[in-house]
Amino acid sequence: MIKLENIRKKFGNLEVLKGINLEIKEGEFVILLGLSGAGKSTLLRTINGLVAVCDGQVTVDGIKVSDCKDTVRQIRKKVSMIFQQFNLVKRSSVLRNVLCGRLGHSNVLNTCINIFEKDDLENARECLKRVGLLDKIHERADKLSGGQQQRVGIARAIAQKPKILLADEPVASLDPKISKEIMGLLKKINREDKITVIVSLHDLHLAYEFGERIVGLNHGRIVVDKSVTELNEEDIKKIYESCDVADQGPMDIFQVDTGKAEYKYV
Amino acid sequence: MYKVKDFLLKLSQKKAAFTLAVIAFYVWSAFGVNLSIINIIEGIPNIADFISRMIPPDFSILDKMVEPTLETIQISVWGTTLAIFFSIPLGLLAAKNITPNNFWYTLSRQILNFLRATSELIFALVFVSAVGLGPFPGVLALAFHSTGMLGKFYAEAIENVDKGVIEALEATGAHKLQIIVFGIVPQISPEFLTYSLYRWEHNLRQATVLGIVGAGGLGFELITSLRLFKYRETATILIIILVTVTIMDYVNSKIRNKVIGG
Repeated sequence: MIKLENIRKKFGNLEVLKGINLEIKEGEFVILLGLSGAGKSTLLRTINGLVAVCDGQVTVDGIKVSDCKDTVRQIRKKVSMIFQQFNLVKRSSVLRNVLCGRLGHSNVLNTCINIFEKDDLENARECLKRVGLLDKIHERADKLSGGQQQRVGIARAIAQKPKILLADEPVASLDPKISKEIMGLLKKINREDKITVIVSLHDLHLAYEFGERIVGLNHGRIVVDKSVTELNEEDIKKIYESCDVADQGPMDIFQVDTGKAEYKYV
Repeated sequence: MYKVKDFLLKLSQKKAAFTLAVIAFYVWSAFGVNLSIINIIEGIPNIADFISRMIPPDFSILDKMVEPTLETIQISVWGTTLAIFFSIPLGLLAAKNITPNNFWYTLSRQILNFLRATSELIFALVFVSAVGLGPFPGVLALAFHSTGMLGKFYAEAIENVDKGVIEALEATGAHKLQIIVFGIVPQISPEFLTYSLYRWEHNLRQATVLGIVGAGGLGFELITSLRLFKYRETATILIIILVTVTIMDYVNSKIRNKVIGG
């Protein structure tokens, strides 16, 4: 389903991904585990083309990811994403936020004058029902709590009817109880819809509780790739060990540079 | 310890030099503009004389002023509306995060700079000679200059939107146009409204003076009364302007509160 071959990515002088090889099968639930700055976010973003790789080849569902406009749009229709900061349109209603998930599948001009297919509206309601927020459908997104906002993010993601769901630190801004609910929801979606889910996390406890396959990332390299049941002390050390010097700088540069990358549209 | 002391000394020297430079600049400018308190004091009797001739205001012309007042409002409405229309595309092109490429960015920024640098009165002079006397050149003058201002404000508002939202919409495979409509419009709508309303208010004030160069409205009546030394009529016109602008200010704040507060 997803194949990453020898992926390299540099932001300025900083190499964030140093030759990643990874293959993920359809329907898998993969946890990408690593410290901040290990390259998790960047790795996830190479899959839907939000970050262009410097070297190597990403293949998603048989399509080679390139920076060609049409190819990228084609891939993004199959891959949805949720974010640490939820990234909802705060002043818009919950419904409108969920409908955003249908944008890639809909007629551009129709949606711009607010015309959506009946199926899309029905689907949006259905998705909100699944995340348990049907009663908030007409609320403004910024009136909801953090956990609720992330549920809307998930509803938007599944409204897209994706084959793959990427979750970039989806619970890092939430308290432990809500975090577990959100992780449970992601797992449920993985089971019921057969959607391949890749979640990046830095919390080991959550990884143990919800993980199946764990891919450990440290300084841009995959250091562990095994089932959660086989994870041992040695592996955990490999994921979490870091030299302090290297840990300070990279985050800054990383954020500045993704800022630039995010500005550019494909 | 020595280092800190040296640093402070250096800093204060720099500061002192800077302060002196600023003062010198002001003094130099004062000579340039013949700044003189004595002139003002000597001029007080003249001002008093001028004001005394304005009193009491001649309200008999009120009915004749209805039409120019309405015309002034009409000029401001159309001037602002046209400016909004022109500045939306220019603002989008002039926003770093939306512009398709550097060419459009630079071009739109330059157009906006030019429009902003040219004052309404200069535009009015040009348009009066182009399309003749009357309110229409006034509308065009306001529209052109306001486009320069609004376009820049819109561009800045667009550049300040939450990048995460844009990324999230990109990730859904949304078209650029959809990203603008769904991601950017809701985020900038409060600023959009505030700037546009403020501009309307400003344009109303401007519309009252555009008539001085023949571009219709109350300004034309104002300059006529001054030229004919009918200062009591001038006073009435000034009062009308004050009342109109105050009402507009009130209406604008009501609209703003209703839309943004709700």
